[in-house]
Amino acid sequence: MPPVFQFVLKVLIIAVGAVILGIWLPWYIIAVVALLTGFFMGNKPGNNFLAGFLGIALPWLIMITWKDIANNGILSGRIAALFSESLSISIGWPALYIITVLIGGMIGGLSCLCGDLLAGETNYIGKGRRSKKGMYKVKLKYK
Amino acid sequence: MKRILGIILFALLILLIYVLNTPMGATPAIGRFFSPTHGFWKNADGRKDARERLTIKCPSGNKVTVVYDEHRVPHIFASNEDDLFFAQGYITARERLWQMEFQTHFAAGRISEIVGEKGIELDRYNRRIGMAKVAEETFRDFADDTLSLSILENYTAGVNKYIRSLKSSELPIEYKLLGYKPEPWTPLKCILLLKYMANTLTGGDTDLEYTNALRIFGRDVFDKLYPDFPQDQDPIIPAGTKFARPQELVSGNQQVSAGTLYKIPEKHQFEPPAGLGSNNWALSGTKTASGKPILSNDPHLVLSFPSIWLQMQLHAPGYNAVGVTIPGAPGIIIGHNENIAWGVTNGTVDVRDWYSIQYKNDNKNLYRIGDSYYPFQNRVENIIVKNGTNVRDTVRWTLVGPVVYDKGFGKNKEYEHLAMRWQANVKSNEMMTFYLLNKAENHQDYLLALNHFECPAQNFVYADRSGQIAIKQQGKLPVHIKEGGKFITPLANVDLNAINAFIPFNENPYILNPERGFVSSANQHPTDDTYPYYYQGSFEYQRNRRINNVLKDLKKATAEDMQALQNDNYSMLAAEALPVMLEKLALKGNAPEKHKKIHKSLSEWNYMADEEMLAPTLFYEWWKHLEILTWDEFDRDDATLELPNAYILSRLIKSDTGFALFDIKDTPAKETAADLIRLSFEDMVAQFTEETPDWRHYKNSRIMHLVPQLTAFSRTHIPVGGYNHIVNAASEIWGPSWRMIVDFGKGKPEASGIYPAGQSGNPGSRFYDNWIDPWAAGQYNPVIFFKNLDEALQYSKK
Repeated sequence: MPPVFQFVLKVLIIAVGAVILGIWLPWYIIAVVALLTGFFMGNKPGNNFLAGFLGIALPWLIMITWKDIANNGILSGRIAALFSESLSISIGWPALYIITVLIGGMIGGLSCLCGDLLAGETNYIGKGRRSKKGMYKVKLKYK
Repeated sequence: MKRILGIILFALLILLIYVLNTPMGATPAIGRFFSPTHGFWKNADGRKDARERLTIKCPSGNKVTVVYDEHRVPHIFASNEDDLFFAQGYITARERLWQMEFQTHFAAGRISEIVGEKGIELDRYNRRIGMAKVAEETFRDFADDTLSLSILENYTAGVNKYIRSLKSSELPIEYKLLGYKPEPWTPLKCILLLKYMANTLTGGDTDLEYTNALRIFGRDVFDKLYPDFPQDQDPIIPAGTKFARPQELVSGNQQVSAGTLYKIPEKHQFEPPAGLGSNNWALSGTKTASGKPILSNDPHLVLSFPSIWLQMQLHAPGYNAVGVTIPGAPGIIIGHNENIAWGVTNGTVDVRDWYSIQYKNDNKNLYRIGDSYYPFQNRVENIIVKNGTNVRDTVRWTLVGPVVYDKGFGKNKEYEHLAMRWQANVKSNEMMTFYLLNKAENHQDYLLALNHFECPAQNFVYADRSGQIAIKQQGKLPVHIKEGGKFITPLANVDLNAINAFIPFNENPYILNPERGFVSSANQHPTDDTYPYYYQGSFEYQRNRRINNVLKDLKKATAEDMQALQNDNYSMLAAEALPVMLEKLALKGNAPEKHKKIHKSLSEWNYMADEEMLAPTLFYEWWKHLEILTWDEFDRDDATLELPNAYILSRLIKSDTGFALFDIKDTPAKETAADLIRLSFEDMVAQFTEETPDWRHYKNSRIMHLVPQLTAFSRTHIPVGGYNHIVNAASEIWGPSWRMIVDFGKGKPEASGIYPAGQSGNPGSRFYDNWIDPWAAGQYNPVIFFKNLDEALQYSKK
C-alpha cells in the first residue's frame, strides 16, 4: 500500500472510530481510538501525530460547521460572548472553532503518536518499517 | 528507548485528558465542553420549523399525540387525564428541564449544591422561611387525596421518562456549564414549585421597616408616609359597595415591639421592587362591540430566561384548556377553556407577620406566648455544598412559624430574635384550583375552584361565554386587629385562639357583573375602608386608576383596544406630579438656555413613556433626584427602612409642601417642597448632556438568565416603553410576563397572547428568545385552541 493511502486510511479509521464510539462513550474516547490506531498502524512520529491530529480535527471541524450553520450561529455567538465576558477579551465564533479543533487535534495527535511509541519496534501492520534499532534517521527529501 | 518515551507521553496524555475533563472553578471541563459529540455544540439546535408532531407512549400503554403549532406551542391530546398529566410532565421537561429543577432547588434551599459556597446564605434563608418543610408536610397530606396524588405522580412519571431518555451529551447546556446532572423528579418538587411562586408573590413585607419608621419619625409623620387608605385609591370592589356583616371580627389594639432599631443585611432582603404587580380586567357585553365579554390579564414578574411561563394546550375527555403553565406544576395557570377564561393579579395583601421572641431564661429553649412558655420544635437543615462540606443549620419553629433571624443567622448583635408567621409556609393545595378552573363550565365552578386557593392571595378575574364577568380576591387571610401585621409585635402578646381566625372565603372581596360593566385589578386596595376586616399591604395607586379611567370611557371595545391598553405607556405619576413640579419650579425668563430647553421639552410632554422619547428620561431622572433629596432621612446605617410609594410623594408636593421631611437634615435652612423641586431640577440639569439617552436606553429593560452570571444568555436594552406604575409595566428587570386577551365575541373564546422569551429553554434554539421583539412592539400571537385531536391533525397536515 502506498504510504499516502496508508496515511489516509489511518486518518479515516481514527475519524470514523472516534465519531461512532463518541455516540455512546465519553468524549475522551477519541484518545483511545487514536492511540490504538497509532499502536497498530505505526509510522514515523510526525506522520502519526499528523494522522491523529487530522483524524480528530477534521471530523470535529465538519461536525461543528454543519451544526453551527444549521443553528444559524445562535449558540456559538452566545458561547463566544460568555467566554468574552469571563476572560475579559472579546472573542467571536472563529475562536471557538480554533479551540475546538486544537483540543481535538492535539489529543488525537498526541494519542496516535503515543500509541506508536508504545508499540516500540514491534511491527504490527504495514511493511518495511522499523528495520533499524536505535534512533530514527531523519531523511531530508530536499537537499 | 522508544517505549520509555511512549510511557512518558502516555502519562502526560492521561494528565492532559484529566485536566481537560475537570471543571476549574466556574469554568466547565474544557475538553468535554468543546467536544462536538458531548459539549455545547450538541445543544446547537438546528430546528427551523416550529411545527412538529410526536407521540408519547404512556405507562398505561396508551399513546398521547402532541402537535406543536406554528408558534411552537404544544397541544397535548390524551385519552384520559392520567396520560394527559404524564404527557404534560414529559413535554415540559423536554422544553424546560434545567429551569424546573433549578427553581425547585432554589425553593428547597439547595442552590449550594450547584453553585457552591456562594449559595449558602441564600439556602439558609430559604430553609429558615420553611418552604421545603411545608412542601414535605403538604405531600404527606396528599396520601388521603387520591386525585391530587395521581395528578402529581403522573406528571412526575412523565418528567422522569424524559430525564431517563436523555444521554449525558444531550443534557441542557446549563448542566454542562455548571457541571452537574439532573436528579429524578418527585411530586414534592411540584409542590415546591408552587411554593416558589408563593414566595415570589408574598415573600416581601415591611413589618420591620415600618417598625423602624414609626420609632424614628413618630406617629404623625408615619401615618402620612404609609397610610392604610390613601386619598385617591380606586379599589377593586367599587367604592360604596355594601359588605355583608362579618362573622369573624376580633377587637383589640396592636402592640408594637419595643427595643432597638432593626437592620437586615442587604442580602437577606427579598423585596419585590416597588410597583411590581399585574393587571387584569374583564369587560361585560355592555362595553364591547360584540356584546360579549373580553378578558385581559398581564401578570408582572421579574422577567427571566427561560420564562416562568410555558404555553400549552391540554386536552383529554372532559378536559380542554389552553394558556400558560408553570414548568413543574400540572395544569394551565392562566388561560381559557371552551366556556370560561380566567387570569390573576397579585392580591398584595400582607400575609407575612413578624414577632419578637421573649425567652424564659438565658437557655433560650422556651419562649413565651400569653402566660405560658413553649419549647421550640427544632428542625435540622443539612445544606450540601458543591465540592465541599455540609452545612448544618438548626431552625427553631414556634407555634406561629419559624425563627428566621436569631444569633445564628443575621449575626448582628442588635437583632432581636424574630419569628415569622407566613401563609406561604402553611399547608395548602393551590394546584387543585387550577385543575378545577381548567375544567370549569360556569361561574359556580369558578367559585368552587377558588376555594382551594389559600396563598398567595390573588385577584382572580373571570369571564364566560354566557356573558358573566366577575372578580374575587381569594386567599386565606388571617383576621387582624387594627394595624395587626403592620409592625413587629411581641409574640408574648399573641392570643393563640384569635390567631387562628381567618376571613371566611365567602367574605373575601368579590363582585359579579357590576353595574359599571367591567371588573379590574392592578394590585390596588381590594376594597374601600368600609370593608369590615382590617388589612394592609404594599398596594399600587397609579396603574389601576389609569386602567379604570380608560375602561370607564370605553364603548364598543374590541380585543385590539384591550391590546392597546395593555401596552399603554401613560405615566399617571408624571401626569399628576409634573405639572406641580413645573409650576413650583417657576423657571425664570433669564434662566440658562439649557434649563429652558429641558423645561420646554418637559412642558410639551404628553406623559407617554415611549421608548424613543427623551422627556421620560428627564422626568424620571428629576423624580429620582427629588426622591433622594426628600428622603435623605432614610439614608442611615443603623436601620432598614422602606421608601414611601411614589404616589405619596406626588401627593405631598401638591398638598403638604411644608411637610417635615422636605427639610434637608444636613442644612441649617428649612426647605420646603418647592426648594427641593428647584434643587433636584438643578441636579438633573447638571447631569444632562447631549449623550443623555432616550427612554429605552436610560431605563434599560433587560431579561436576565436565571443564573445571573450567564449574561450572554440574557437580553438588555429591550426596545420597550413603559415603566413601573404604568400599565405597560416594563421596568428595569420586571414587566408584563404574559399578555393575554380572551374575546368571547364569536360566542366561543378566541385568545391572543405573548410572553417575553420563547417556548424553548435552550439558549441554542431559535425559539429561546423569538417572542421578545414582538412582545416589545406590543404584538400578540393568536392562541390556537383545537376542539379535538382531529382538528389538530388537520392543522398539522397543512
